[in-house]
Amino acid sequence: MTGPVEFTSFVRQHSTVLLRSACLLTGDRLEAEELVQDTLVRLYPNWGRVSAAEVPLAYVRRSLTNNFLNGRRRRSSGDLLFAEPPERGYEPDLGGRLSDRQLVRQLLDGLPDRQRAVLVLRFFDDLEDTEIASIMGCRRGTVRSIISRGLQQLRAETERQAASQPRQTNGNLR
Amino acid sequence: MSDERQLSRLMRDGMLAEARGVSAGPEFTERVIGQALATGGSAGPGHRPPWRNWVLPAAAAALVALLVGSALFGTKLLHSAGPATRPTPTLSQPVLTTPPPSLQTSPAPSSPAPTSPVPSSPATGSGAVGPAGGPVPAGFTGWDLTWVSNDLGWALGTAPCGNPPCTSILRTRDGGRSWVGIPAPRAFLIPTDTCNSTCDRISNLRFANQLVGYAYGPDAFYLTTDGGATWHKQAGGYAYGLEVVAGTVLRVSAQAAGCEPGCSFRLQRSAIGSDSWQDVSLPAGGRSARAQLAASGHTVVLVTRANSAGGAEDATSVLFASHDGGTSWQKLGEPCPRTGGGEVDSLQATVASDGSISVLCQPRLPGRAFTLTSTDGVHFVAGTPPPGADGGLGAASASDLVVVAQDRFYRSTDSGAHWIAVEPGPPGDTWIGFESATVGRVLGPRSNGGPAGTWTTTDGGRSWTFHSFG
Repeated sequence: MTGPVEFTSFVRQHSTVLLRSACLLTGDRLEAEELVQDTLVRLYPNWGRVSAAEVPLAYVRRSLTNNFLNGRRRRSSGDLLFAEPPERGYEPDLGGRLSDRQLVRQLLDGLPDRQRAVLVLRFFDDLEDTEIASIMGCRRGTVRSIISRGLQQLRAETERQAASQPRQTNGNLR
Repeated sequence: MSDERQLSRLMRDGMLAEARGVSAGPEFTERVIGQALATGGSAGPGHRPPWRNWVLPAAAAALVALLVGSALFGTKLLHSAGPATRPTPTLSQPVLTTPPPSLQTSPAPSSPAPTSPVPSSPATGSGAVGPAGGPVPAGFTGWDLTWVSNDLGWALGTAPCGNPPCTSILRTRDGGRSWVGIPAPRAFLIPTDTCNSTCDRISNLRFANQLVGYAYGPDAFYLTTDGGATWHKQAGGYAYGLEVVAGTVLRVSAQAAGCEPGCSFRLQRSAIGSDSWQDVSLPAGGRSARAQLAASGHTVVLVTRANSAGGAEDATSVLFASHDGGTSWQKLGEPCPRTGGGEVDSLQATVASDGSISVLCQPRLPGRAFTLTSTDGVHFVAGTPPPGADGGLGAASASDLVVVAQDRFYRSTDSGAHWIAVEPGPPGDTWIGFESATVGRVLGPRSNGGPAGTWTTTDGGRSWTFHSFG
C-alpha cells in the first residue's frame, strides 16, 4: 500500500530535513518552502516509486535538487541579475568576526545555483562526487572543481577574517 | 585554516549550523499534504503520459519514421520515439557536448558474445539484420558504446530535440566509419536528462549479438530481440550494470529501482534474450551506493562503493572478481586503499582481454591519481598516470593502458609506470573500452568542440583513428 498514509507519514517525518536542504539551496525560507512543496506534490501521484526505493528520502532529495535547478532555469529569463549578491542582515558574533555559519551562508549566497547545489549535495547531503555528477548532469571533474573552488573561497574568506581580527577586539572597533 | 580537511569540516559545520535553525512547522507540513492529496486525487495515482510511438509495430514505426523524417525533418528523424514533428530545440534544453566523466564508470565493452540459442544470430557484422536505419540526429552526443564484432556496434546518446526524451541510438556495420540512427526506447538519458525523477531513465546500452540488446538504467530496463527495431520495457526491471559474459548476461540489480545510495546490490544471470533472471551468489560485504560491472572473456569484476551518508570522507569500495564467467566470485576488498589519511575513490575498473584487472584510483584530498593492475587478483602493480587523470581508463592488456588526463590521451606499455601522449588522440574525458588486445574504442570528439564520433585503435592503443557520427 503506497497511498496517502505513507505519503503523509513521510512528509511529517522528513519535511524538516528537506526544508533545511532547500533553505541551503535557495537561501530564502519562503522560496525553500515553495520548493519542498512543489517537489512533494509532483512526486505524490507516483509515490509508489518513491516508496519502492530503499531510501525514499534520497529519492526525494534528488528530485528536490532537480526541481531547484530546473525552476531556477525557468525563472532565470525574468530574473534581475546583480553583480554582487544582495546584502543580508548578518550580525557579527562577539568576536567581531563572522561565525562558521555566516561564512558559509555568505559563500553560498555568492555562488551561482549549480555551484551552490554541488556544495550542498556534498557537504550537507554528504553525497559522493559521482552521485553529485549524476544529479547535476555534469562531469565528475566538474564536481571536484566546483568543490575545490568553493573551499578555496572559504579559505580566502577565513584568512580575510583572521587578518581583520586584530583590529577588532570583543566586537569593539578601534 | 589551510588544511583541506579542516575547510571541509568548516563547510559542513557551517551548513549544519545554518540548517539547524530551520524547522518545518505543522502548518507547513499539513499544507503540503493537503495540496498533494488534492492534486493526486485529480491526477490519479500513477498518472503519467503513456508511451507513444515505440509501442507501434516495429516495421510501421521504422517505415513511418524513415519516410517522414527523410522527407520533412532530415536529421531529426530517429530520436528515441518522439512525435514525427518536433518543435525547434528550446534554449532551456541543455545540450552536453561531451559526456560527463561520471559515466565513465561505464565498463569496457564486452568481448563479442558467443552465439546464443535465444535468439541466435551470426556474430559477424555484415548481415543486414535489424532496422534499416536513418539519418544520424543532428548534434548527436554519444554516451555509451557496445560492440559485438569489430564491425558491428551501437552508440547510445542524445541530440537536441524539442520534445524530450531525446535519447537516440546509432548503429555502425563498418567499425564506426559510418553510422545510422535506429529507434530507441522512450526514456530519458542519465545524466543529460532534465526530468524530475518520475520518468523512465536509462544510462547504458549493451548488445549481445546482432539481434539482442539491452538499454538500461537504475529506473528502467528495455530489451530488443530484433536488432533495435523495437524495444520492450521489462516490467519492474532496472539495472546498475550489465555485461554479456561467456554466452550469458550478467546484470547488477538491487532491491528497488532508484535505490542509490542505499542499495543492496545483487548479481543476476540470464540467457541471452530471456526475461528470466536468477540470482548469482556473491560473497558478503558489498557496499551500497554505486556499482560498476566490467568484463572481458571469462573475467568479470564488480565494484561496489559505500554509502557515504554520515561522512563524505568514508566512502570505501569493495572489489569482487570472477574468472569463470560469473559463476564463482572472490572478494578482493578495497581496490583503492587510503593514502595519507584521506579517502581514495575507485573511479573506474576495467578488465583486459588477458584477464587482468586495472583500477583507476583518485584521492579526494589533493593528490595524484594512480592505477593498480593485477593479473591474479591478489598482487597489484601501481602506476602513476599524468596529473589530471580523473576519468577514463582503458586496458588492452596488463601492460598496455590508456588514460585521459587534462584533455590529452596517454598510453603506457609498462602497467602505468611510464606514459606517453598519443597524437592524434581523443582530446578529453571520454568513454574508453577495449574489445580485444588490439581493438579499442574511445567515445569523443575529434577535438575539443569538434564533431562527435569514435576513435578506434587496431594496434593495442598505439595509434587511433577518428570517425565522426555524422
